[in-house]
Amino acid sequence: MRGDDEFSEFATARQQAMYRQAYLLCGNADAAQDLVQATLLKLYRSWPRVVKADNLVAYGHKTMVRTYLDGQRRWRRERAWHARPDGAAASPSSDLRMTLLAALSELPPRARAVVVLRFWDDLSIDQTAEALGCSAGTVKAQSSRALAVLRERLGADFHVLHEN
Amino acid sequence: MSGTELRELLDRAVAPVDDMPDLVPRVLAAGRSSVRRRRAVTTGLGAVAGVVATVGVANVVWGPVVEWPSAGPAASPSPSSVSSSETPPPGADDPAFRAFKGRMAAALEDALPARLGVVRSAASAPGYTAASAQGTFPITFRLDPWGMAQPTRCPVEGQPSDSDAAVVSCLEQRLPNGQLASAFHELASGGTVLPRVETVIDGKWLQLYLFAYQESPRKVPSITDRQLISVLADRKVADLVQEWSAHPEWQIG
Repeated sequence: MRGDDEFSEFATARQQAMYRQAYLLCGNADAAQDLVQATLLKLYRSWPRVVKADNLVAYGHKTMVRTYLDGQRRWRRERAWHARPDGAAASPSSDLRMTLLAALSELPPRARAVVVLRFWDDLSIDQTAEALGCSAGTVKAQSSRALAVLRERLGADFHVLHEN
Repeated sequence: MSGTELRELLDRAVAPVDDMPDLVPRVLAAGRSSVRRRRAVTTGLGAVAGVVATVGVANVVWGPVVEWPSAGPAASPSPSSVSSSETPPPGADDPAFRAFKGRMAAALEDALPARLGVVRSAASAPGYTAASAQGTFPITFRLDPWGMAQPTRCPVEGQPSDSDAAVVSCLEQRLPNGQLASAFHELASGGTVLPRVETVIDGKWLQLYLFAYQESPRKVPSITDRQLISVLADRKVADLVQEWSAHPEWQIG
């Protein structure tokens, strides 16, 4: 089928990049793989409409973050923005990569999605807002807040990370 | 920390991540199967277009999902959509399920405020039952075995909300079975405020949605959060939900 061929071509080309995006959202490989699979399934099911999108990659971003956020809501992993006690902040780690992932995990899912879309996928504020279905102002506020939280959580580790 | 610096850190965080296995063959197989199932689901709905314009509560990944063309709940901004086709799914053809839906419609009619009128059953897929009060506004009642393990909580000021939509009102209350139920009026597209109520039965997510009047999309059924919860607390409705829960074949969308 032509649609299947087009989808296969798109999915094959994009799946590893989607996996890395998912890894940043989920924080581990298994969950990231599940998220990619869920996203690709959604795209497949809507492919006749998806393929008409101006920007397939952007549509994929949008589908993935919404699938991620939907899964987060369903499984009640949402963390309260201020609920985590200070004592539970990420401690300095010899594994700097894990430190960053731990700091990311401190963020609520929406803020994490903003970070990944804005700073890893390089989407503009408007594009991020469109992907998340919220206003540009919300993205700016979440982005600023997320950066502040990451700065605080990473603390001295940030400088080590950056210098390395 | 600047955005550029963060970008560098994120790049480094994923740099050592090995490629995952090729998921495309698996997705294609599952996707073809789900598209066939969805076509079967939406076909049954087409047969009752006069009663319910569009009822498709199906998302292959997370279980059933409904999408309304204009007045759908803003809390479900899925990019996926549903189109109609021709044959009812096996579960929807089940005479026992049809009879169950008829009994559920009658129970809902008794439990909802009398001003909302007659509740009629509409054809639907396993996983949810759809009904329409006097053919004027659609009702969706869904039992989702893949859904949340507990109902969405009312928002707490200063904390992130479980709902993407603006919550106009919310009420939490224990049902007679001890389960927590939460009722919401949420702002949907077009400024419509839509009522819904949810709880969890046997670990399955139960949701009742009332949608806007079809002839006047900004007008919604008049019902309070307390009345919504009383629908789930109603003995007949609760018994039917237990019956529903005992039939997995009626729950898989």
